[in-house]
Amino acid sequence: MQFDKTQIAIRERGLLELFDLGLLVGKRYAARILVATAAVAIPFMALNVALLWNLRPDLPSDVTTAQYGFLMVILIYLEAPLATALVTLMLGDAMFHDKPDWKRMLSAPFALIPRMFWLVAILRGVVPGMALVFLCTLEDGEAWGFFLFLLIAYATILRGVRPFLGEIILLDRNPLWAKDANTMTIGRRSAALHNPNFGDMVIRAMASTLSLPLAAAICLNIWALRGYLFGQWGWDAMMLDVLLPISLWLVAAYMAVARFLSYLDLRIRREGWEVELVVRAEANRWKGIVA
Amino acid sequence: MVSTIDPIDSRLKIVTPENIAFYYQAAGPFRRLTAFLLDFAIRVAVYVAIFVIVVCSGLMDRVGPLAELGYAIRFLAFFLLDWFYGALFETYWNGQTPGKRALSIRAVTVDGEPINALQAFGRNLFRYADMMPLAPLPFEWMREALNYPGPYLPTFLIGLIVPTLNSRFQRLGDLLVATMVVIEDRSWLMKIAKIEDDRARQLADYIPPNFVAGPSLCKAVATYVERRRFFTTARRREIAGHLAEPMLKQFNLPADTSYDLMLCALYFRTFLSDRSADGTSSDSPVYAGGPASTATNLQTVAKSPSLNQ
Repeated sequence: MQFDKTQIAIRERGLLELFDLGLLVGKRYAARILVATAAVAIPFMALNVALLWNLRPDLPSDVTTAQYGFLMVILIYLEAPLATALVTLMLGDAMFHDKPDWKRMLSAPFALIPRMFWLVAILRGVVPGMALVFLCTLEDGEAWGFFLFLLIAYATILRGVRPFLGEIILLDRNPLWAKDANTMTIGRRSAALHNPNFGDMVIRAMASTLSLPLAAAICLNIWALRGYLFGQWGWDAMMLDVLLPISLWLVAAYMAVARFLSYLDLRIRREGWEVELVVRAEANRWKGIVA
Repeated sequence: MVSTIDPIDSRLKIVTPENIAFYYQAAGPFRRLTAFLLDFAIRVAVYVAIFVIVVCSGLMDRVGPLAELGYAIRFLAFFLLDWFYGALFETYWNGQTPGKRALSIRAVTVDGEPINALQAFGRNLFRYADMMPLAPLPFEWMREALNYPGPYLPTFLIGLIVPTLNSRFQRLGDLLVATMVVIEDRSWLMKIAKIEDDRARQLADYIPPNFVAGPSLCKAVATYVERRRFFTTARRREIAGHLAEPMLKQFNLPADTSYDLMLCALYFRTFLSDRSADGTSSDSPVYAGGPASTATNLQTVAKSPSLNQ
């Protein structure tokens, strides 16, 4: 591993350039990104169908179809940061290696799993959100819709102002707790990285809404292609359970790539990460020559 | 193992027939979409203004040829704005439209030269192709309300996928007339950083006189010193420590010398002092260690209170 030979050119970039670069990164690692996304997204798809099972008997009616589709979109929106964790790990590994290696990538310490579960799955509302969606599908479950709305707002704000929590957990691997006040924990690192850049984070969150038209465009094309090829224009179970989630997961995977690049960019601007890589590479050469 | 694959980047190298290389940064779909939306807003605003003028002039209220003139003006305005706005601006504004100018991007040929009128028109001719494929409205009640079941909504996927598949981010119109869109780089080149701390200059004197920094070390030290003012003290120590720590050992300097100061001293010695470049003996070995005696003399410099941050 050579620190100053990264697979993605390291320099400061603007937000739009990061989204454009995300397309190039997506192109080079397309197969691996798809596999990494599918490995987590497929179990989530099955789980989502199970959570919405109560609505299935009424599925042909228009109102229930809209409700079913809407709840499916909410579930995937909430699950996306957790489901794209493998994409982040893969890209982290790919940064310094010609060929990302699954074994090396998955050798990440198991301590990361409880951290991800507590900080992302619980505190960022993934598991509570899934529970609330399930409650909404029960008879007279509409009242839970208000709590679901509050939870989505809470998760959206958290993800907007502190978007890189997953990257900090998976790539920086700081401890969750520390008695020593000088030890860099996940919380301290997150605060140090996000708080001084609050304005940038808000603008980035606003720019991330481009995922909505992107998801709509992909979904509409899949739906129209199916309609033209097979004459099925309805929003049936196949469309709602498989094709709609696939289009949303594709966008979630792309947004994970864009988020990873934004994280690197923030570290470059805030912490001079590219300087550290050059200095560390030179230090390794120096040690080699001296030895 | 050293990487053999080019790093992923939107920067392009163009070599002229005179064998001079230029670097351009290609503008991707998202930056160009923003410029497109700005231009679209301008076109809509101009069309609405023309429409209001036509309505206020009373042409639309009349019957006969005058009413037809009103329709003709509106139709002509729509046609010209839709098909010639981009082409005319790019021809007379050297590859830019108002939207492109706002986003600091410019259409050029793939050789980096200004585009001509034919290229400007050609690349704008295929703008509608980028909006493909069109999809029907998604719900039946929408199709019934519009009374049109066919393709209607532009999804812009061609405009997203085609540029992604080539390294220059060229859309269909660009591929047809061999043009591309680049970002105008107006960034300033970094000057040589000033070393205002006298202690760095003093410390530079303790670097062995026969030491010559190699190109990669020069680059690493220059990168650090040019950016260090943006970092906190702790972060400076963290970054500089990687290189300064083994360097202090090699030069037999006190281990508690400030890492930041050590790299500043090396920078001063390499780029600013009399011994830099021409001043150093060329036959001295690179990465040579210094005499042990330097350590004793340095105590006074290294022990100053703020030095060991």
